[in-house]
Amino acid sequence: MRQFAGRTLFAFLIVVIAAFSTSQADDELLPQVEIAEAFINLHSGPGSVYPIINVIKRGSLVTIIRRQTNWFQIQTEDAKPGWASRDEMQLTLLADGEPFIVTDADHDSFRDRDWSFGISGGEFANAAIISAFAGYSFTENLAIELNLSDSPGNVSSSVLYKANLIMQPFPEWTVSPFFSLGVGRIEVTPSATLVASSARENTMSQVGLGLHYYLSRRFVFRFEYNEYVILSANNSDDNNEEIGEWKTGFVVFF
Amino acid sequence: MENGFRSIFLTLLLFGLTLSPGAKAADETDAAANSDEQSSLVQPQIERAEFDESAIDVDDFEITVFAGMFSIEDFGVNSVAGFKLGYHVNESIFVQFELGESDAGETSFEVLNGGAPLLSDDERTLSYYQFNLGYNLFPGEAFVTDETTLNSTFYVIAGIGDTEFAGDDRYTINYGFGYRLVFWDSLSFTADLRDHVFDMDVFGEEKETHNIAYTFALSLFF
Repeated sequence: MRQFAGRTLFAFLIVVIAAFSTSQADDELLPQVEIAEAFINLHSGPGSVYPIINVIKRGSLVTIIRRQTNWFQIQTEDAKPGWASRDEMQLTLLADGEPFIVTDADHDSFRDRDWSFGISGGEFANAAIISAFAGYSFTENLAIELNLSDSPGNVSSSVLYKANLIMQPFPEWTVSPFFSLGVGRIEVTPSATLVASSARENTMSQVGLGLHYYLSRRFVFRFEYNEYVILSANNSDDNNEEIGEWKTGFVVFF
Repeated sequence: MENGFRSIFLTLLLFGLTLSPGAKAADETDAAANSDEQSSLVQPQIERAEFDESAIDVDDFEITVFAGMFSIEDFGVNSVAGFKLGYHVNESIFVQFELGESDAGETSFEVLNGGAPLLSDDERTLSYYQFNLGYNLFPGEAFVTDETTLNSTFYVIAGIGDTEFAGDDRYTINYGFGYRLVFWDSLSFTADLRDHVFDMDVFGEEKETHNIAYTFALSLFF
């Protein structure tokens, strides 16, 4: 098992390296921009703390090699590389004399999102819970989400699968509330050291409310509180279990 | 008649002036300036290709493979391996999903007792996943030789996840720090030291365990 995993990883790495070495071979058509300000600073790395190693004057042409977060790796006409910030790149000109406007995702793109993916963590029935979810938006107010959660506890561990409808009545707000309705299944496995107890699986329904807070680019912060009703058939006094859950996490959207 | 002569004379004079070398030179400079202007308007368009922002390679994601040693409390020090998928939010913050696997050794009790294993082979396999948040605390440079300078960063990292070991799933928090060296373009090397904290009850009593992992990794931005 160990060797198998090792070999798989090794093979995977080889494939990835091969894929990248080929994708970076075609660098003839890299985009170029012209410096329009008096000068721009080139840093040695993708961050404002890296030292300035070069200054490029107005009128020079630079080639954009790649981008990492808010930094552009560029090359001067005499082939000297360096990193320029997004803000400084916005002051350069394209071939037709138009300014180079970097089109990044903003709050409006979050409203117009199609797909979103996220992770969150919190507490479920006094045990920790970790969730991963994927969503698709039909309109800016309505989305559907599939959610997979894992709640490893000391007495028992639960896995939850659910589908949610997410309603966001005020998508234009920076801090925007949402309501959710969900149905799904919960699997509870007792701890291995507990004797004579078996795993059980039940249907559940959920209502919840939460907040989306738009952070930057493709990132949104999420907080949510949910109430679950677990339709536990083997319950002796015929009462369904009710469980509360809170979670915080991040959403990335596309 | 006099008028006729005068007009012929003036016409000739005008004609002569137009053909004079001075006027010719002035015309030529005009034409040259004109063609200069034209070339400065046209030339850059020939040199530069059509601009396409999507042609800029955005390298915010990172795939990592790692291997190292994992000290599982009471179960000895064992090899660990796995992979990570990261996303860099900005120059300081990154998020990461990590999967890892290790095989636990034998406890001192099992070794001394000889023959009564506490766990089955299956239960002895430790596997975990984590969601981590990292912060590049001290970005900088490493002066490897007189000629070579590599970008580097010292980062701190923490996260939550699930560890499956001894037949149980355990909620796990982890925290630690690491050092990254960027070799070239998008390839980097990291050394990482992390404490995985989870509860264990293999010996009958619930206890918090601290499991230290040190790993070495290669990663690619894409």
